[in-house]
Amino acid sequence: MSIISILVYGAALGCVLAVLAVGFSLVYGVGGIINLSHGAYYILTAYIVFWFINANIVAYPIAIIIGLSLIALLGIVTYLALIKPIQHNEIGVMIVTFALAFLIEQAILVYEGSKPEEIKDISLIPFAKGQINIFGTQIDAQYIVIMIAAVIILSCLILFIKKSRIGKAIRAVSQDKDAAKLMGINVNLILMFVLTLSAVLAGFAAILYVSVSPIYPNYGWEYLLISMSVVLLGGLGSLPGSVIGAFIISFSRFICFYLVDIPYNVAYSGIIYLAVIIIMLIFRPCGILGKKERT
Amino acid sequence: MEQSTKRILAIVLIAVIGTGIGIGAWYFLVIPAGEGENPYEYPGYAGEGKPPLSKTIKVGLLDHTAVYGQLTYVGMTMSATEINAAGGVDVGGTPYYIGITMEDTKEAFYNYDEALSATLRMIEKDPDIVIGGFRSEVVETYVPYLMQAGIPFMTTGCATTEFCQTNVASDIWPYFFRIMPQNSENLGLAFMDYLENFLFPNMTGEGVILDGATIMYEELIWTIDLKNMLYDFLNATSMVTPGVRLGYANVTLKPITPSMGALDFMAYWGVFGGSGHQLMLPVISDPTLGNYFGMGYNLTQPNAIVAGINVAHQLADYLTTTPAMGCQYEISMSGAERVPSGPNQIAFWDAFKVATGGYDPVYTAIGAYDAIKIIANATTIAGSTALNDLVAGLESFNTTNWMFGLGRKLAFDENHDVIATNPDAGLYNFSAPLWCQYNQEGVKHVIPSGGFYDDNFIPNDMFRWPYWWVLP
Amino acid sequence: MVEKDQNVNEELVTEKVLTRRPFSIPLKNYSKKTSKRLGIFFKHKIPYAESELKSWVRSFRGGIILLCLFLVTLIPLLLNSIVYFHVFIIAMVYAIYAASWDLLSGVTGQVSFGHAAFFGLGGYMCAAFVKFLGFHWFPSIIIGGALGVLFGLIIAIPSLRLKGPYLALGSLAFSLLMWRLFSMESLRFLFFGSEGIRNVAFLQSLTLREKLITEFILALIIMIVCITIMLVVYNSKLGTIFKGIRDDEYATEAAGINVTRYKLLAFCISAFFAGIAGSIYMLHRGNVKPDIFMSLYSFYPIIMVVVGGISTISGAAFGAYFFYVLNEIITQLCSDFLPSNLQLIFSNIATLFFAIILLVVVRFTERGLMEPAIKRSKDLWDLLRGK
Repeated sequence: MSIISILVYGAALGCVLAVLAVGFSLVYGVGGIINLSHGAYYILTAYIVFWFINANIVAYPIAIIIGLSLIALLGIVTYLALIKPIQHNEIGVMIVTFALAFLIEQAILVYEGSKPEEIKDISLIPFAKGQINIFGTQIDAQYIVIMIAAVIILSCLILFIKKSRIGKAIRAVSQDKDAAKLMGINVNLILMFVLTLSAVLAGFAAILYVSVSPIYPNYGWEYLLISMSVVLLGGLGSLPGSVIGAFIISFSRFICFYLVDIPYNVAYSGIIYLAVIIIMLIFRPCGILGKKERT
Repeated sequence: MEQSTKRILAIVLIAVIGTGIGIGAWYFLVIPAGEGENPYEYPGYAGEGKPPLSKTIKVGLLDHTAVYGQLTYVGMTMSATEINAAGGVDVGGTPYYIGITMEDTKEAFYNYDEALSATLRMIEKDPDIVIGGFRSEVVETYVPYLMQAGIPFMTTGCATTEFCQTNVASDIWPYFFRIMPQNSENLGLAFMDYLENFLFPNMTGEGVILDGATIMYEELIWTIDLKNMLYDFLNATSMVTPGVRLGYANVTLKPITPSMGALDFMAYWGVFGGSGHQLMLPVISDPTLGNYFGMGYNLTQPNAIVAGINVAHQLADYLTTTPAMGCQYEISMSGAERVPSGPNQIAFWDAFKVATGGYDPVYTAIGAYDAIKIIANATTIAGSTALNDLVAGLESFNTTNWMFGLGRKLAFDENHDVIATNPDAGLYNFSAPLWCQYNQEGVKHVIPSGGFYDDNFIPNDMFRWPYWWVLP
Repeated sequence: MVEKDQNVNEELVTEKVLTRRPFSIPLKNYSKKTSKRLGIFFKHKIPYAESELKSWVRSFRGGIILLCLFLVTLIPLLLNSIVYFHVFIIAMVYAIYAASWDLLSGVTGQVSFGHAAFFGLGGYMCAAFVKFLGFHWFPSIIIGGALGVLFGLIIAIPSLRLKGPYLALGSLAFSLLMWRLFSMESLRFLFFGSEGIRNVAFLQSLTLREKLITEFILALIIMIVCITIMLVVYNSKLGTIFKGIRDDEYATEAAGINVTRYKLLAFCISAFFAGIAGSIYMLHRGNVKPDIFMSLYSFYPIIMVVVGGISTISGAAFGAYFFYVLNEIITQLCSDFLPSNLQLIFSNIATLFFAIILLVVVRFTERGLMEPAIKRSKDLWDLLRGK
C-alpha cells in the first residue's frame, strides 16, 4: 500500500511542481530574469478564483478563466512597467520583482483581514470527487486529474515551443539575444510573452493543486523557494531539467516520510529541499542538466 | 524669476510648510498620546458624552484584530454595555463605568515589534487592567513590559501552563491572570479523564484490544507539555485497565509542522492505517493543519477512533471544508458550545450572532465577556481600582467564593490560574472542555464525558462509532 | 647600529604582500601584518583625523547627518512617549543591521538574501551568554558579534564560488535551514527548540520608562559607533577594494588583489555588525526565538537599504528610520482616528503602503531616496544662502 501511495502522491506533486518550475526556468533561460514574484502569481490566482467563487457571481469555469486572464494581465504589466526599464540591472530586477511579491502578499492580507473572522486558509473545489481504487489503495480521484491535466499542459507547451513560430523565436532569443534582434525578432515582445506564459503556468498549477493543498497568504515564498530549488536542481534554463528536478524533489519528500522511520521524519522532510539547494550550490551550481557557466 | 525673488519665495514657503507640519505633528501625535482626551469607549453609557476618567474602570484589549481580535472586542463590548446600561459598577460608593479600548498586536503572525509597540501604546493610555493575548510566544514577550509598568494582565487566549504555575508562582509576573482557556495541564487532565472513564471502557466494551496509539501534535509551548502528559498516562494505564495494552513501545509520537501540506497528511494517515493502531490523539491548534487532518481521516478510514484537540473542529465550516465523513466521527474538545451550561449562555450566544452578523462566539470572546464581569465584581469587592486592591479583589474568587461566568463557575487558584473542573477534588462545572462530535445531520453535539462534568449541567447526545469499523 | 626606517620598508613589504596567492589563510602572518598595517594607519592618519573631521562637519552632508542625528536623539525625548523610545530603538537596531547588509551586498556586491542568519545567531549567542553563562550584557553584545563573525566565515567559505542569483538563493536557503534546525524539538539540547531562549533579564530593576530610556541611549551610542566604523571602512582603501570586487571582480583580481581574502573579510565585518544588531534586539525584546531566522527578517534590510540607497551606508540608516518610524506613525494615526469598525479594514494598511513605496522607489530611482533628497536639499540650502 505504501508504495502505491508514494508513487501517486509523489507523481501528483511532481507534476504540479514541474508546471510551476518550468515557468520560472523559462523566464530565466530566455531573458535572464529572476522573477521573485513567481510564488505570488501562484497564490494570487488561487485567491482571485476563490473570491469570485465566494461572491457567487460566476460559475466555476468562468472564474478560472477570469483568474488566468487577470494573472496574464499582471504578467504583461509586470514586464512593461517594472522589468523592461531596468533590464540591464539583474539585481535590480530581482529586487523589483521581490517588491511586487511583497505587495501582492500585503494586498491579499489587507483584504482577507478585513473580515471579522480569522484569516483562514483557502482551497478550491476539486474537479473530481470521490476515490479510485488503484491496486488496492484508495486514492482521491483529484490526484489523477492533476496528473493528466499537468501532462496535457506540459505537452502543449513543449509542442508550442518546438513547432510554432513564436516558439522558434523564443528559442532564438534564449540562445543569443543580440543575434535574434538582428534577425528582426522583437525581443521585448518575446520576453513579455514568456513572462506572461510563466504567470499563466503558475496560475494553472495553482488551480490544479490548491484544491488538495489549501494555502495561506504567506505561502507565496514557500512555493517560490520550492520552484527555485527545482530549477536549481535541474539546471537554470533547462526545461527538461526542471521536470526531472520536480519529480526528484517531490519523490524524495515522500520517501523521507515512509522509509525514514524515525519520529521526526516530518521535520527532516520539510528541510529536504533546502538541503538540496545548498548541496547543489556547493557541488554543482549549474544543476543536473544545466549549461556550465564559467564560475 | 530673479534669484533674490526665488530666495524669498523659498524662505516663505519653507516657513509656512514647516509651521504646518509642526502644528500637525503636535496636534496629531502629541495630543492623543494622553494629553486630556479620553481614548476609552463606553458602550451602553446612557449619559452625555463620556464619564470622567476618575470614574472609569479602564480595561484594554491587546489582541490581533484580524484574527479573533475583532470578535473578542465584540464580547467585551457586550459585557460592558450590559454593565454601563445598568448604571455602572459600585466602587466605594460611587458609580464607575467600564471604559474599553483596543490595540492591535498582530501577534498571530509572530510580529514582535508591532506587538511591543501596541503594548506600549496601551500602557500610555494608563489602563487599570489589560486583557487579551493569543499567541503565547508573543504574549511572553510583551507581558513583562506590562508587569514592569504595574498593570495587571488577564489572558483570554493562552493555555501555556507555565505562565501561571511557574511565572506567577515565582513572582516573575505578579499581576498575571488567566481566565480562558484552561491551562494545558488541565486540558491534559480532562483528556486523560475522558480516555480513562469514557473512551477506554466504550472501546474495550465492544471487544477492541487497544495495543497501539498515535499522538499527533504541533510543537508549540503549550502542546508539548500536553503531549508528555498523555504519553506518560498511556503508558501507565496499560498496567491497570483490562484491554488496554499501551506503553511507550507502541505509542507513536508524530510531531507536525506548519509547513506540512495535504499530501503530507495523506502520507501520515497511510502510515497510520498500516500500523493498525486503534487510537489517534491529535493536539493541533493550527486550523489549516486541522482541516488536512480531518480530510485524511475521511479518505483513509482507518479502524481507529480519533479523540483530541483540533481547533479546526471548533470552527463553523469544518463540516464543509473537510469531506463530511471525517467530521462526523472525530471527537474533539471544544471551548464553548451553545448549551445551557450557565444561566446566560444561550442568550449570549444568540445575541453575539446578531451583533456580529452571524458569527459564533469564539472562546476568546467568551473569556473577554467573563473578564469584564469579574473585573467589575472585583472592583466592587475591593472598593477601588488601584493595582493592589484590584489584584486582591480578583484573588478573592476561589473555590468557595466563585462567580457564575458564561457557562461555568469562575474562580482563580493561588497562582491566578482559572480553576478547572476536577472530579477527583469534587470540583464540578468549573472551566472544562466540552467533548463534541458531529451527528448525522451535521450538527455538533456535546457527547457524554464519563462523569467529568455533571451531565445534568450540560445536556449531551450519544456517541457514534465510525461506520466502517466492523467490530468483532 | 643603524636604525632602519621601519615605516618605509614595511610599506614596501605590505605592497608586495597584496599579490595573488592560492586560497589559504596564513593566520599567524596575517595578524602580524595586520597590526603593522594598523600601526601605519594610526601614525599617518591620526594627525589628519582632526582636520578631516572639522571639514566634514562644515560640509553640507556632514551638517545634514549631524542634524538628523540630533533630531533622532531629541524627538523621542521631546515626545516623552515610551512608544517612540521603543520605535526608535528598533529603528536603530535595523539601521545597524541594514548597514551591515549594505556593506556586504551593496558595497561588495555579494547580494545575500539570508542575512537573518547572522542577525539571529548574534541574538542567540548573546542570549546564551547572558542567561546561561551569567556574563554582563556589554561583553555579551561583543561576543554576539564575534561569534557572528565565526559563523560568517562558515557561511562565506562555500559562498565564495557563487555569484548573483546562486548566492542570493543559497543564503536564503541557509537561513531557512537555520530556522528549521533551531525549531526542531529533537535537537533541543543543541538548538534550544521552538521556544528559543526566554526570560533574559535586562535592566529589570528599573521602571519601564527608565529601562526604555537607558536602552535608547545605549542603542544610540552603539549605532553611532558601528555606522561610523562602517563609513570609515567604506571611505578607506578597504572600501575601495570592496567596491572593486562588486564592479568587476576579474579586473580586481588581475590588479593583484586576493579577492577571496577580501570577500571573506567583507562577510566577517558584515556578520560582526549584524550580530551586534541581533544582540541589542534580543536584549530589548527579552527573548529570542527561532522565527528570527525567517525570511521576513532577511527581507527587512533589503527593503530599507533599497529605499535609502544601495551602497551608501548612511542610506541604510535612513531607510531603516523611514520604514519603521513611518510605519509606527501610520499605525498610530489609524488607531487614534478611525472608529473601531473601520480599524479592521485598515489593520494591515501600513505595510501595504510600504510595499507600494518600495515598488515605486525601486522602479523609478537609481540610487534610492536618500541621495536625491540630500542633493535637492543642498540645492535648496544654496538657494537660501543666496549662492
